[in-house]
Amino acid sequence: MAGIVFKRIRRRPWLSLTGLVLACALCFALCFLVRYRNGQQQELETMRDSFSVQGIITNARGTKADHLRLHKRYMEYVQDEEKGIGAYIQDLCLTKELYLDWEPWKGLAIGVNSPRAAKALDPEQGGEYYSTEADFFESCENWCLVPRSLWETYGGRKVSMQMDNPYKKTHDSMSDLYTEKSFDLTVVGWYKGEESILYLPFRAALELGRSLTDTVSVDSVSFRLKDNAQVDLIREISAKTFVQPDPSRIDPNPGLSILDRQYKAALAEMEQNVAQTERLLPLSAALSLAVGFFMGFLSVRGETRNYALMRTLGLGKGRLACQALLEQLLLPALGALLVGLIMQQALPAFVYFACHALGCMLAVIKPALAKPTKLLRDS
Amino acid sequence: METVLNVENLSFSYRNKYQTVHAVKQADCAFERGKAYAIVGKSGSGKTTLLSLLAGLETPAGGQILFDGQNTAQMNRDAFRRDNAAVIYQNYNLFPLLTVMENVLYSMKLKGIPGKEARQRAEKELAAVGITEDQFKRFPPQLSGGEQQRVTIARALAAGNEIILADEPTGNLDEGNSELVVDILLRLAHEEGRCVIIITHDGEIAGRMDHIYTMRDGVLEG
Repeated sequence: MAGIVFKRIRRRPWLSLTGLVLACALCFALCFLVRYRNGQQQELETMRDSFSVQGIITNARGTKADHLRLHKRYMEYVQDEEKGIGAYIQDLCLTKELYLDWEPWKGLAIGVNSPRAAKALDPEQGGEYYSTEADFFESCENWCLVPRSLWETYGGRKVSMQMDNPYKKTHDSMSDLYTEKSFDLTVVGWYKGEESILYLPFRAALELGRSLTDTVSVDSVSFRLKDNAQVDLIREISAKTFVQPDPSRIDPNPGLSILDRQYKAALAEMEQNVAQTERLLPLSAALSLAVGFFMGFLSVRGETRNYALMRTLGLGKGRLACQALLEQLLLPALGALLVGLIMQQALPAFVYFACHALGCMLAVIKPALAKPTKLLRDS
Repeated sequence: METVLNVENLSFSYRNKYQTVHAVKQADCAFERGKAYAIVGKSGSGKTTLLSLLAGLETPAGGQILFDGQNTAQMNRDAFRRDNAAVIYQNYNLFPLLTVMENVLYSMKLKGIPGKEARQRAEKELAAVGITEDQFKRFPPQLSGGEQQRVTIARALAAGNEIILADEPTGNLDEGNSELVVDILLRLAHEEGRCVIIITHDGEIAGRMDHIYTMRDGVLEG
């Protein structure tokens, strides 16, 4: 009977063509919407993953992020994966400041655990450094990086700074007492800049500070979130340890600022796009169903007489329903297949076809299953 | 003659918008192979309903129709129509989107007759009812009413159905074509041994049949 179906389709070209064009257009719309939604979702995921949300420990007012003299328990808290927030963060940057009295100038010696902890060292922030020691930042040796201009005097090769030449005295910013200590530093590299700062390995600075005051403290802590989606979770977990920074707050505890405003703004826009597209999807499916019904209804309306004739010739209800549906669905199926292949969207194309088929079925099934005498009377 | 259809105590009623209509009331009759029958009666007397019951298009409310001794209510009535009973209406007998040849082939395809054999039979039966070869590829609207009705008869002949049920087959035809169609139907009964049952208003046509039944308000007489 397939031959008859093809002939009937071919001999009603306008109806068939309209069905095909509508099927292609609706299937395209659905596939396009799904592809757009998927693209937005993927972009959203990429943004969630790639957007660098930074967390910074500040004073309670949120006005200062260095010279904090934080007790070591805060440092331990951000590193602790079980009791702290260590499991949720990465790229932890720590600094320890020591005041330095050195012949060329008076200034700071800052212990850093990563080039990202100091602007002058971080290539991403325009900084530059050179170290002969590859493990400078992980080391606990008394090494230092000096401004590039001093490198010519003290660098080039490892130069051990003796106590007297140059002679350095330090005291810890944490200490109320001005205790001093002399020590040697080995210049192992330089950084771009002319500041009166020496950069030390963080662990070395920490140890120097401890030897001065018997206290371990850090002066700045910053990090990036491992998973940006956990920003609210981190806030919740750390609420007992860090206060929410507020310019009017007076609190001995430090604050935790998570710089997520830009991230959340960008995310909100995309989430709104995705939500809007998702609202359109069921509408589009419903439209496909309605068009399927309408096309089926249009096609069947003039066919009741032929259906009755087929039944009187002995075609069973089931076979008639199958034949009628095949006739209605062949071209939409072809359209959906083509669009699905071109747009590489198998599932939406199938969903479109299922909706169209359901609509058609609703239109076709009644006359196909009706008594032939009733169809004859109706026609 | 051998009885092919036996109608026993047949009744049928249906409900329309206002009332229940008893279209056929306890009808009893028998139809034999090789004979042509006319069923006459006024409009609304139940003739077409009786024909629909005989064709298995409606289910009897009471009584039974026996085909070769077998109750048609217990048969697959689609198969009964496909294999045994052809129905011819006054109009709307052919598929307008199929050619003359395709229309005749349709019922044979339903029966599963192979393509080549079906085509040979269709050509033979179309020629037998006076349809010329150049008309085979025409569509029904391109034929006259008489030609269309003859194509319908050719379809019934080609399918090999032994019962021909015709509802006003000449109602839309002129005198010449009516005579031609009736001649063919009588030839089917008398020469090919089929059972032909015609519903007609035309007394002259009814008079040419072997037996006349009359329907009056659902009651079959004759």
